Amino acid sequence: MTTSTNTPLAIEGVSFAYEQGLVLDGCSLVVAPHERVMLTGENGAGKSTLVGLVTGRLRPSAGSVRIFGADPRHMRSWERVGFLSQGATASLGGMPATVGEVVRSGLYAGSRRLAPMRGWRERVDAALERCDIADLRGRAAGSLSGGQRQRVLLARALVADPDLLVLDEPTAALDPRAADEMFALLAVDRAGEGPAALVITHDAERAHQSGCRIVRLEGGHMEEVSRA
Amino acid sequence: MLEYAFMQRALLAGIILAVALPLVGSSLVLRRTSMMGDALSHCSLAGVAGGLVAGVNPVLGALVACVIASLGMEAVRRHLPHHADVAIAVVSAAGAGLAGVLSSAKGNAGGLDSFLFGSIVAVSEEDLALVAAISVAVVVLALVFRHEIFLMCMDEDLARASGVRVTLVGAALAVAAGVIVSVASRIIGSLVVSSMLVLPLVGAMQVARGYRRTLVVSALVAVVSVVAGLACSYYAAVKPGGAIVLVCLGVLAVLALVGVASGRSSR
Repeated sequence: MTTSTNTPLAIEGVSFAYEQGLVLDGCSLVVAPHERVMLTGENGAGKSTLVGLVTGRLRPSAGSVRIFGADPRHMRSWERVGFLSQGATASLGGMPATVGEVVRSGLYAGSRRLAPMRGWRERVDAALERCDIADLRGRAAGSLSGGQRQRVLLARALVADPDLLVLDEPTAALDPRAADEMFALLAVDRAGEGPAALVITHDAERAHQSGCRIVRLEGGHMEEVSRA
Repeated sequence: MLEYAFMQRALLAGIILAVALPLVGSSLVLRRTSMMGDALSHCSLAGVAGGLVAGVNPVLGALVACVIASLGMEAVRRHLPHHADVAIAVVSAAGAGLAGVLSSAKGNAGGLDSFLFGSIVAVSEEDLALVAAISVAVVVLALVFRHEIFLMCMDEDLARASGVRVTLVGAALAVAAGVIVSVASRIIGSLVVSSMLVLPLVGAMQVARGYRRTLVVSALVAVVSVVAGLACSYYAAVKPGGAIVLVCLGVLAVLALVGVASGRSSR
């Protein structure tokens, strides 16, 4: 498959099986520049497997995944991707790091690892402001609530102004009000501006209310539910 | 005590190790694999016993055993993440079993004894050079890969999606842990070196705020514990490994109280 290097995310004919059986069966999905896609599905539908394929942890048994035209297992330009992982929310509880350090770590991706961006302090401040947590900068990340940690990780994903956001369950373990606030944050600059985004969520109701394109993962297949 | 060359060598080697051990230990603790240190300590003892039996440098025996064990545990952790704790338990049992059997070899028990809890008189010039070279290599590794290690401690998927070659860095950290545990066995002792991978970091987390500060404070905690422990060993004629760990536990208790009193615990 030939995928344009301008296409943030292209999943084509992807299948994946664990020993227990097939989880993804010929799934295809293209996320265009600036487009926001909400991927919904029940527990066990294969959402986490898809995240593993997008980050390169897993290799598809058939089909291909391309991020800006590159195979994630060999990709170098990860600085173009902002990622919020479900696992990090829990592990932040045991990290002896400040909120500022966690957000700053988003600037050291891909080829920027040894050459951090100029003006990193301003970038960290801007990301914290954008997620409405500027007052938490010096706080220990482990002392925060689940909702605050999610916002810190979203700020981390946004800090380098990525071209693609991949957000894995950004509202997991949040109470309804915090989940509403998180979706409001995600909706701020949709419609033709800002990074493309793939938001993986079990929260179908809020996903529908977001006005974004909805794709449902069920029985190993992807089905487009609604367009933005 | 500093008028004796053996004590100068023991102190110098101990201080160098004290800087390197918490750096490696932090990656084990924060990636929730603290028990890997215990398994490595058992393997280092098996390697020491194997070296004594084979008539080669026992530290070299420990080094080989620890590197093989650490890479094996890392491989299982990567491919069977849900069984990582079982792999650590199996390696730990294998190390203890081998150490027990090999220590029964004729005339071996006496030599092995000095590696259980360390010895301040056994550090030769060659041991000091080996400790310095390996510790410098470990510290350089930790500095070069500091961003990668930080991300891997947060979450390996997050690290992957930042371009970190998780398998490579994980293997490098496993080798570093194996190597540093093996060279520390001469001074600190195989049975207690794993404590020095964990305790200084736990102590630092009680009072320091921020990742870098926590690493710096953990190195300070380790240095203070090693110097005071070796002094206790010299003046009280006790095994250095036991004295170092007990001092470190004392420092940890004080830091925990300070952290609670000041409300500055990083948790």
